[in-house]
Amino acid sequence: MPFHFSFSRLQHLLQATSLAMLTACVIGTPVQAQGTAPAVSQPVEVSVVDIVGRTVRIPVKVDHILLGEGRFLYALALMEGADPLKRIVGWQGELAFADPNGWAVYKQRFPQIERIPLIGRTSEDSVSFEKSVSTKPDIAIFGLGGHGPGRQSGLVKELEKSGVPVVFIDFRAQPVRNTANSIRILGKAVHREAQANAYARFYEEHLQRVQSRVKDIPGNKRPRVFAELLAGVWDGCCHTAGKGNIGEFIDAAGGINIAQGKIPGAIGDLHQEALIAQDPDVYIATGSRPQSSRPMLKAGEGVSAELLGTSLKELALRPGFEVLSSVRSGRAHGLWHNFYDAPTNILAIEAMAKWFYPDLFKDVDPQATMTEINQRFLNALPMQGAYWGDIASRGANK
Amino acid sequence: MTASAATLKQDLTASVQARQPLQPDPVQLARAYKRLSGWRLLVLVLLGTAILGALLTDFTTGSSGLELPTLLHTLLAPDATEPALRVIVWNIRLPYALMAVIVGLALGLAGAEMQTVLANPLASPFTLGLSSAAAFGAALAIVLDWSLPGIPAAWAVPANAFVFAMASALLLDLVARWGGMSTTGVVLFGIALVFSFNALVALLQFIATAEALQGLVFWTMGSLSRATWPKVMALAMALALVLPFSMRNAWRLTALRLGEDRAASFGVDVRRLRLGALLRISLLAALSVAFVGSIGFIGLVAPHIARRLVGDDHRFYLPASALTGALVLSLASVASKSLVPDVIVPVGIVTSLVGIPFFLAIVLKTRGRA
Repeated sequence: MPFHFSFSRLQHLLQATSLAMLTACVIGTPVQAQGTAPAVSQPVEVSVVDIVGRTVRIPVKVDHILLGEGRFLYALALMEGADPLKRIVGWQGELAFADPNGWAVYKQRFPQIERIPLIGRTSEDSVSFEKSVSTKPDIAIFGLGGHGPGRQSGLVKELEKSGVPVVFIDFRAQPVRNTANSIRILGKAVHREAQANAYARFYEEHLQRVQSRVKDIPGNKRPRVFAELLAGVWDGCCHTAGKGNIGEFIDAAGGINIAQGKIPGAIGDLHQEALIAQDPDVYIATGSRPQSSRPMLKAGEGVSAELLGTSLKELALRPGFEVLSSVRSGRAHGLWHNFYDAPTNILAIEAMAKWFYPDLFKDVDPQATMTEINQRFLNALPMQGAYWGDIASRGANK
Repeated sequence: MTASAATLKQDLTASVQARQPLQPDPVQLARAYKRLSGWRLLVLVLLGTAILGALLTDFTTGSSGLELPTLLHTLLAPDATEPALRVIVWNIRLPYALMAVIVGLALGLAGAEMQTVLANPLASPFTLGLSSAAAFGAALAIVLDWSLPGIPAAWAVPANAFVFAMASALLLDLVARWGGMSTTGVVLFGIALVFSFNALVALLQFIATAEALQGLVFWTMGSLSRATWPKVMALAMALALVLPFSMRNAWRLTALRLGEDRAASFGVDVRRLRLGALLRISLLAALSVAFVGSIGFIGLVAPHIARRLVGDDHRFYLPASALTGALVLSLASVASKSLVPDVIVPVGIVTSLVGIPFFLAIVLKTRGRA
């Protein structure tokens, strides 16, 4: 049994690293249409270069969209207007588990969300080709492995053979580099270019604002940051990101991720002693699951700032955390976990920038950015809740 | 024909011609026995010393690079030192290091008894499906958030793991008792349990969220970073409870190594002996697996190493196996800290990587013997 487990884990790690390398190689490929220019004003097939550099021909009519990950809904919702679910004919069912709060809100507003056929549960292995094809998609949108069918997936070849174009996007492996491009690619692939490009520009402007201000800060002036992923979900401590994932947000916001260079893969567990010895300036916990009897970070849709703060406080009471300077000085923060796989990750980057450099980013207000995203792009179902926040002030309990 | 062979032949011929019985001298025999016992005792002492060394190394190794005087000061006067240091010494290093030794002792002892009562060198507490049952219990808690009523959330996973491991062991006892099964039957039933629980775990994996799946995978690979004082104490108490019973049965277990019939002819109630041993094994293995996850290698390999070091006399073999298990696990803990500092490597992986060379060295060195 242990061999089986470790083997499949190894497989995932290998897959993740090879994908990361692959992406690194093709990154920078400009996203552009490569189809022949239309001579007459008839709708013609266009093509798009996806995030891994494949040129994919997009059908004229895209009414049926298959999503390799349920969380691509966050991206689709930015460009779909009034009914973000309308064209989705099938997806993986992980959204309900990964973001129960968001799911509940969607379900209330769009009860049909439960009737969208599932092509799998949460992992690539659970995705069924037969089920995928039976949804009769015009196009399939996949991510770079991890939670859905990846680049090497046999399913991709099978779908293409049966005439379904497959487009890869990524908000997860290298979110800072890939988010804007992925949005543009998705916009093109589902014929929502104007909205998609508007969001991509909005994203880039905000990212640029943060990056330009922190880029000249020398290393010794940068705060050292530790991000504990899904804090409290597992026994023990210190599940964290090395390269990529939330580690990229820390970089972008001008922090130093203390786990970088230590964790060999994308994610891993830092030794608690190393955390105490390093004593980071800023501690960030991520979380999303609302229900649980053990301490976990509560954040996301419908969560109040107070709840986020007190749930973080509970986490900070675990043995060994009370000695961290970040916890003692109130530089402990909470973040909605799904930012690591959502194009709204700019909110996480802005929130971090403010945590790292409160003075430098006095004029930046992630809350205002969220309001703008809600008004301009998420009319159907705006984000409402504490997606990030600070630890409850001392004395609240204990 | 070489000269020595020629001499040997002459000697043999002489002995046969003289028709002397091949009776060893009783005085010499007693002396040899004493020498052997002395040697076996020495092995135990050496193992114990090595464990102390490993424990000290484990305690002094860590990412914060603390010096021994600082560590000792924190150990002896915790209130006089700064909180971070106190946490490192008292909440992290000490429980982790002690957990490695105690789990090693428990699994080594359980494995030794198991191989004897099942008369099977491939038996280990995990052959009977204990680890798989525990994994299933843990998976219920991790994937479905299902736990026994009245158990605090922080203990849900180990409690479930323990209950399932213990239940599968009791089921096994029941089958052995009612069915009057042979040792082979018990082993086969154990294998059936392994496959059943593995299938059930796979089923849960299939419906698990990515996070739960990851938690489950990490749980199954075993980690000493789950060590806390209550867990260390619970396992230490179980060990203190079980060890006297094991040692009291040492003679009977030694007799059992000669075969069931021979043991029975000495007046050993083989069935009772086997059931008692199974219960002891279940308690130790279930607690170990509940607290640190599956570390299957120790229970299998420590008995083999011990047998090669001290032979089959269970008065020495049982403690030797326990000590060997402790030494291997403690060394594995040191190795994982020195090889990949700052990062937690599941101890199950390191144990195998550290233990296998150790194991092979002993097997190859003594391959002439049984």
